Amino acid sequence: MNKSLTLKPIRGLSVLLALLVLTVMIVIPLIQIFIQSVYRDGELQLAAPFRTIADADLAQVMLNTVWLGICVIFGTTLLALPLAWIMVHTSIGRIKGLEVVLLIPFMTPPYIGSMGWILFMQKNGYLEQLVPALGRLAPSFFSFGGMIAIMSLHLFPFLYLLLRGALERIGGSLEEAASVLGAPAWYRFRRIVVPLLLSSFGMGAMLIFVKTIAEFGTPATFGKRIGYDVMTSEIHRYVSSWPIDFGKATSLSSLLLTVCLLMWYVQSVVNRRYTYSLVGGKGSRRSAETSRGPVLWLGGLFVLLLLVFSIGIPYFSIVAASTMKLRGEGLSWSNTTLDAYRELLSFGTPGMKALMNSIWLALAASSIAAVLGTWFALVIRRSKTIGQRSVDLLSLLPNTVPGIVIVVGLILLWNSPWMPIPLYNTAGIVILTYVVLFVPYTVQYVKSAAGQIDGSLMQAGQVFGGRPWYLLSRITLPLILPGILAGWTMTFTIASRELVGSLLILPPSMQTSATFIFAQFEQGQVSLGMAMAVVSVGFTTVILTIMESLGSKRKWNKR
Amino acid sequence: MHMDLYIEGLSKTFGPTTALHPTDLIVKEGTFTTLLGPSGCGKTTLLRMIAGLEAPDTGTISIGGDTLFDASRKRSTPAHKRGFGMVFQDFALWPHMTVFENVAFGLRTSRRTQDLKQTVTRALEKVQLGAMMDRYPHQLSGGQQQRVAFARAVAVQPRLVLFDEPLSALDASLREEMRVEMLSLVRDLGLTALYVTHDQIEAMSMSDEIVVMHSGRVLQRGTPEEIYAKPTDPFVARFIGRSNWITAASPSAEPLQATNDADLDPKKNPPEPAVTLAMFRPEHLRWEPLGEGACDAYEVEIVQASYMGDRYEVHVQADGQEERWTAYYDCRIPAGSRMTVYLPRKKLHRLNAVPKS
Repeated sequence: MNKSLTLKPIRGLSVLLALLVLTVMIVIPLIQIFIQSVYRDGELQLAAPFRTIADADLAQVMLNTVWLGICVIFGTTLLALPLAWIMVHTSIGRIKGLEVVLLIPFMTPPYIGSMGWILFMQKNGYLEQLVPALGRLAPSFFSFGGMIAIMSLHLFPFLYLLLRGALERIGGSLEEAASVLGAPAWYRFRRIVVPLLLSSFGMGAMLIFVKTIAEFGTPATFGKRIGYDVMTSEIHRYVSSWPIDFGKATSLSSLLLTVCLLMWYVQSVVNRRYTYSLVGGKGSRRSAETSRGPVLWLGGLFVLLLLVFSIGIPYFSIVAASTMKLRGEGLSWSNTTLDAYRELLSFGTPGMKALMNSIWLALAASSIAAVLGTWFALVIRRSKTIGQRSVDLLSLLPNTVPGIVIVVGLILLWNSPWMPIPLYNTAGIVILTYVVLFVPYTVQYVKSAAGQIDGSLMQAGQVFGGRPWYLLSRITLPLILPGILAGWTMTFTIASRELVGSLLILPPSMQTSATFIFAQFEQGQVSLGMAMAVVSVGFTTVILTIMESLGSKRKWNKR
Repeated sequence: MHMDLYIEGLSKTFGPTTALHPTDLIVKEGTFTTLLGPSGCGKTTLLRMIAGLEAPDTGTISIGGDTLFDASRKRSTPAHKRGFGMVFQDFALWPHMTVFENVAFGLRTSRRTQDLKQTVTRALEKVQLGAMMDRYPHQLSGGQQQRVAFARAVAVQPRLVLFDEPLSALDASLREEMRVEMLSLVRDLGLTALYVTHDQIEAMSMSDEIVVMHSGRVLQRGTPEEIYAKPTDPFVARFIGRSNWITAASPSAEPLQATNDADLDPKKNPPEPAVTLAMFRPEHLRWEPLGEGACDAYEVEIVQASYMGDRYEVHVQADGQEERWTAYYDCRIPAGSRMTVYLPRKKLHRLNAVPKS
């Protein structure tokens, strides 16, 4: 009793401190955007953002963005729904490792994937060289349809995971019960599967929409080439190239921010009210009846084609371009060389410097994010009080807010004339940006790890005489360590290839692997840029694999 | 017309493991039959094959002259055309439908929608849920969900109701209540029921016939009384109720050879059986040589006595016996005391532990 009483003020203080840190890190930058967008010439003009948008022909950009979001929902559905069905209902789902392979498109930075597609489809690109007959079709890929295809191929795993989970739970006894009670296949599909799938699908579709309109990599590479402007690419233009116009940038940012927050709110309401708990008990089992024959063949073909399009083509193009000796010569063994890698990986070259920058920035950011995220997660605990719930909400906010909006907010705050801390234009601001962008990963992983710790474990520790700090170090920390490691790994992986923050906020003389790739692809040596892409994706994959195998070696994680 | 369920030579393998060895089974119309066995014994597989949710490798399933499955003629009626009802372990209530719609589902699929409202209402009133028709499953308690699942299975007046461990998801006190309620409903409605469980108390208290299964084989079938009093297999004896074992080789078991046990078929009892095992139930061990017929006396040492409220459960070690016995007594005996116990010879049950091939 005594101990918990003395701990209370510390806990309260901790919550307050966490809220303060989050406010400085996340809330103030976002508020800056709103303030900047409504304050013009020293006075408050609430209508200013709308006027700016109406004046500057930005309405078209907004429409473009929304239309892209809707079309990508359609595209991802077309890919994810059949895939989920195949993986649940045929023996293809039991192929080892396929589950992990299907996540690769999602883990591939979208700008790299887009570059792969551009290299493959452009004039005299790899498609034309491999199958000259199809070469004539290639130009038509550089269109709105191509953009939808690229983004859908990047985002589909996200929807797939949601649909697969729902289908698996339905496919057990819920569908069997209908079958025993006399419902033929089509009736079961109509009355049981579709209604139950709908809530999961709605959820996934909303998240896909938010992810699409927040996406920067593909619009910045492919979208720019076909002249399809969306909000993120326009924001980037107004803050990075002359004439710089923060009025337009903040107006667009606040609009984008509002849409995303609104979607997120609707989604959480829908989630709370209309989702049926489909949690299967121990009785839920994988449906034993699987399809054979033509269905299996068609399913296999579908999965194979999907893998070719989502992984095969982009990666083939990137690797091929990175080993190309002369651009005009085309694909042949005699035209391959590892010169680009040699140049990239030798000491002192700009490429090597950029790579090293990426690594140490990501290391610093992921370590800070791991510490902060763990602290937030422990403060949140079971989010009972308002303070804890606010920490929960704020620390996960960067997941919902588009990266470019956060970056603009950080620029506004740290570059403002009254800011006493000279962080802007140093490496520090880059690390801060990464931390803000990716702290939700650690918070989520640690939260879920801590959620599995039963209250009785702590009580047992107390009964056996453990003091609070002893309990934290001997019980809580070891049990949440896998969560911390997962958060660290994820943050490191994503931060080391992050594009939008790096493009906007890096000090002038500094480059990271992402900006290096971007610059080389736009105007420079494509082979050098693509070699960097291979290296950066390669080494982050190695690190992911190492951490994964370390995690699975833990005894108590094994079933 | 008879609606008995006939199963002949039904078997199933999953990859390298045999879930069910060729099995025969008859479920008589209007009876309550239970498949009893530990987890992984093949009972659920058998039930799911009868329901049509799993395809057998060999054998036939038929009901009332209607062949549902025949492996040799490659004929199989799909689950939705078998006309059965089933109660699932996790209830499997559809979360997006009201209680009414859940129960009405089977009637709609079979196009019996004439008196739909009345039929559903009647089924729900039977399980005392007439007032809950418009609720959704997640608004019900575990016991109520169980009742809806039951009402849904019987509303269609199925030829056979299958129960897949329906009570295992409930907590202990509720389980007992539902057991009594479900049994009386099954009797009331005159249903034919096939019930799967690993709980011997459920099996004993509800069934007309119990089929004990182990590692994909049927070990014994019979009324609950037969199974309890005359187990034919050591596993059955140990799995159901408590058993005390007498080692045949021990000197104190000598009287065994002298008894003329009429229950043992001479054909099944070859001159030199592999091992002769004998067992008796704890309640038959007496503390005084009273009662009808001859008794055998054993010197025992009290190991432990536990108070159970209505009696004391006493663990004793008989001289020359390998296993400890359990007996019941009506007052506390200190551990370590030596006593004499008596076993009426009639209560001794012998089984032949035929070495399994």
